[in-house]
Amino acid sequence: MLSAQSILFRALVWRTIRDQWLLLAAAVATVSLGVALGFGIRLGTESAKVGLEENLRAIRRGGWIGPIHIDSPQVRAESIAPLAQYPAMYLSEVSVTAADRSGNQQPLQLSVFWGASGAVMEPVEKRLQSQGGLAKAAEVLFAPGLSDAPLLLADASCKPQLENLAAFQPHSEAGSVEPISVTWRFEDLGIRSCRTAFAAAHTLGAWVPAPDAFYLKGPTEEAAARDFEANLAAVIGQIPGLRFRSTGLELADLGKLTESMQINLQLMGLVAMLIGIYMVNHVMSAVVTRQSQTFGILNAMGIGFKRQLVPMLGFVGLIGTTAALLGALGGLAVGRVVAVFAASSFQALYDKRLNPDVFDFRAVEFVWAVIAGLVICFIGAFVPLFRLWRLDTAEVLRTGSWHERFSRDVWRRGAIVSLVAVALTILLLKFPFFIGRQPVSAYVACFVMLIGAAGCVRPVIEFSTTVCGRYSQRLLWCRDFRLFFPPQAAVMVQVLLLSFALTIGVRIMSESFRSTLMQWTAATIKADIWVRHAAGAESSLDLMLIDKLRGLKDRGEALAVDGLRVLRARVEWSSDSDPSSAPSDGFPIAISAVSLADQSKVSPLRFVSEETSSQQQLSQQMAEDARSCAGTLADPCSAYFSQSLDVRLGQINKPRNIVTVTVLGSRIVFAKKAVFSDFGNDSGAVLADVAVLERLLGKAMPPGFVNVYLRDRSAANVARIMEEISGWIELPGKASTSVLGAEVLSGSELRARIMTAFEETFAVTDALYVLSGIVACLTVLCSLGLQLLMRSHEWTVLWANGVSVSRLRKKLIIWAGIMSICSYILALPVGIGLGAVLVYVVNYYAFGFDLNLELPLAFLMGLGIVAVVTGLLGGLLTSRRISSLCAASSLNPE
Amino acid sequence: MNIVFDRVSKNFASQAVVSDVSLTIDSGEFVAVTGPSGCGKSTLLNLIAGLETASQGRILVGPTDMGQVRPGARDRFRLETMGFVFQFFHLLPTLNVLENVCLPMFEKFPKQTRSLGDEARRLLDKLGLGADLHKYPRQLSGGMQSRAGFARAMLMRPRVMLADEPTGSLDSVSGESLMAALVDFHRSHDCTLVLVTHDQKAAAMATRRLHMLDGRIDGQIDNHSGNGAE
Repeated sequence: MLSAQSILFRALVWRTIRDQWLLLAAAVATVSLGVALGFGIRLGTESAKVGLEENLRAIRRGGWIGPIHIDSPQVRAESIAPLAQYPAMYLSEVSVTAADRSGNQQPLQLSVFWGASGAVMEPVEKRLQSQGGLAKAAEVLFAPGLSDAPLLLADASCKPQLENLAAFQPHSEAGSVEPISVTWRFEDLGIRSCRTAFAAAHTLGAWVPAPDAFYLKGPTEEAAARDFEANLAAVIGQIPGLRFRSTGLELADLGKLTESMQINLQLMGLVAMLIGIYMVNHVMSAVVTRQSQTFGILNAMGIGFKRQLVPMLGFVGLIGTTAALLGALGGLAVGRVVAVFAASSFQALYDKRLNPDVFDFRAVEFVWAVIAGLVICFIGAFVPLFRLWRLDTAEVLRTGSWHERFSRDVWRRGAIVSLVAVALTILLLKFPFFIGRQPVSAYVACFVMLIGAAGCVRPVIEFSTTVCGRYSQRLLWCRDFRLFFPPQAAVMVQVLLLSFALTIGVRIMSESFRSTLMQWTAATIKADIWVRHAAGAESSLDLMLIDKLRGLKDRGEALAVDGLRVLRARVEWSSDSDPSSAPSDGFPIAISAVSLADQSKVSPLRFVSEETSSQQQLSQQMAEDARSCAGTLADPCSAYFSQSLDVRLGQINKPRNIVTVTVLGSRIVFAKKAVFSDFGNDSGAVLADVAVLERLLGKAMPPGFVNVYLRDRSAANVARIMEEISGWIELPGKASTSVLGAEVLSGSELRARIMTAFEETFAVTDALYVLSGIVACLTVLCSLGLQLLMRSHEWTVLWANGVSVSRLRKKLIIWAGIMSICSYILALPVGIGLGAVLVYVVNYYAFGFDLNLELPLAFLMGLGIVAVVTGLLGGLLTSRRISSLCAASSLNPE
Repeated sequence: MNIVFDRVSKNFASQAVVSDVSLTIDSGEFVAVTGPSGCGKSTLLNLIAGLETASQGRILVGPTDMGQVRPGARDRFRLETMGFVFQFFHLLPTLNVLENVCLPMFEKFPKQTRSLGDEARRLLDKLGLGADLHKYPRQLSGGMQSRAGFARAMLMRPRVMLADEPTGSLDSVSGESLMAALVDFHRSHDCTLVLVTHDQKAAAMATRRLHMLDGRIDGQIDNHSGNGAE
């Protein structure tokens, strides 16, 4: 049935769909990928949040008060005695090495219940029996008493923790320490987490690892509750650096981190959507240019632009709906992947297990994703369709085609857009504003930067065209530039620029992470052999170890022996110049103690700023302070502050040079002498001289950890020495070197383990990076195809005037490569700027990560080559259509 | 429907293409506009059609001041009042002959598509295109395209017919045939016909002949009386 509407649709839309389906498909794919990225990231991270909330709900269902986390590495056993009267327990899953009846050693994972009022070991025998009749290898540590507690399940998927690799295993030196790699999983309540602890038979008075989850069955009576709270307060006051945190609070913090991750990742999705907008803009520009004669004829017949807009908007709607639906469906797949990766990242980074099967699909969000895809298409199509209003009908009828004329407006608009973008970006970065801990201004700055960069493309090409116009008589390439790189190519360059910039920005961010981590591991784990051991106040093993290891110096291997003592106690602190002022809000800081008299111990740290003029002067001053400082406001002890603490000080302490910490009830005032960069840490650190702490705290100083590391000076046989050291610390009958809280590792192995954890954490970013790469490649091919389509009549005319098809092809291929590399060159500063904002602002404020910007030069060069190759390839593919255009019939101005 | 130019000028980038033209074309008159290339003939036609707006002066088509109406209303006015025959016929390449002819008519009378479709078929049959209704423009000869283009304009029953060198790209036989159809339509429907042409024989068919030079009308001849004026 013929109708005006159907005829108009056929005239304006149908042929484009039929003839240019490949290019339209590429545009649809680009928009789809943008939607899929945005929607998928949201789904995945929302699922992670739901996983966290699930844990919270499970805790509430369990009817426990708390749960309360004790945030301290080690406490004295009697310190928690006031709480021992309440039904409480600490749950852990323990890896042990057990011997079967024939004496073979086998690793096992066991469930252990700890209780302050007398912990129990989970029916070990039952578990052992279920493992094939193995003999009991670990004794029941405490009297039974909580047999009705939910069964815990071993969770083999718990991986080595970054934190535990970098720090040290806590242990009890007063008891026989059983295995490490303790994991527990409170399956019945739905709490899933990986934890490290020790099952140890210990005496009261010994330093023991603090149970890091302390579940208190609710004292329901009011009086009992008050009593409990009083005892809790007493414990808090007694134990140095002890902090009780409810699981709810901890999970809420994690929820905030999830939101940070969500926004950070969604930025990539949004940039991909921005590319989608430009892509639709490009496609619709091509369609409008290509169809300009049809629009003109229709207009001459009295069918106005408003009437023509209807089928065009329908066309856009068709593209948009297809792209949005495909994108939203793709988003479901991406979301699943992100959810799994997010669960894995949480486990690796935050010590929390999330159920990777949780997938928070909500139909309403699906609808929003589809709407977003449609909006992208309509925004992208707005400018080309708007241009229809300016169509010069008379020119179209006269010449058969229409191109917007160059005008100073283009210059002016481009210049204004770019200048405003630059000014706005600077303002947004200079005066940041936040929602929660999200640096919203930085996200806006990223977009402003990208849009500003895209906005200046056209003026740059116009300028180049004008300049080339002066020399085109003399320089052949100038003529070719004007012919093959016209202002209409601006949209293509914009799309490529955005794609390359996104790729570069994301890569810089992940490379900065990787590089900073490598620098950190290289600085911290620089030894060839790494022996680490918890050092207790009464420990003899570490002294023995150190003595033995020092003995190595006299051996042929000539290994250097250094020690570093770290106090992981998180302390109360205040940053005001008045030490009696209240401690600051829950921002965690830790004290690390090293021998500052020997600057070689701290020299690997990257100093951001120093208060004194030279390293030597600083060393002398620090050594002097270590001997005599009183740790008071009048005579503070010198310390290095981490950059995160320094930033914190800037927010709350105007002088920015004093920190008062409370350790074991004593207050010590530290003055900032230098600020060092601390890898990916959202907590602060004060690096103090170990002699200062020993002098001021004496024996009361809480135990820390001794790290003994050996540096190879003469190409010694590292493997053999490691074997020898392992022999010193092994107990009879134990095959593992990971006993007694001591561990012997090669430096490279330790570094590799940390990097593995990083790679797993960043797998999601890499996956998104691959997707953004696909977007970039698609845009190259699609843009070149569109470029060919838009200018097909010109190629035909050139051919008719004697330029051979092969020559046309050759030039087209070469100029496609040139366009691609020009886009890449323009994208370089934009991508680096984007990367810098992501590294220095977004990650810093949202996560507290303090990264060094790393320019991946090899990658950038490689991307340049890829840009050229992709451009040439795109040119090659599209130039194959030249021969079909070069026909006499194509000269007819349709 | 009469057409009045009152001191009309049209400039492109400060260059005057039509300069201070005053002219009246009576309702039902057939006027031919001749002159060398670039003298402003087509621009004059575009100004009547409202495809371009005058830089100065006033153009009245019937009671409508083309400079005063909004672009949308101008399009509607063109659809309801005028028919346009182009030198290159400007058939839409994506539509077949029948669709090309029907499109503007369906726009004008959206509720009468069936009867108008039949009318279009009859007209195309009469013009010798009855067997080519479903062919696309690229499958037609120049003469056939010209007839299809003419049919499209004619079917609208316009009160003003504008023809921009309709015979310019046709052989003499096709050209004469097209002109005969145009004149026939003009006479039978009493429409105002403005013809831009280089073809003196075609111009001779008009009741009045205007000669343009450098954007001005430098002479006109009344073909019936033979009187000329500068």
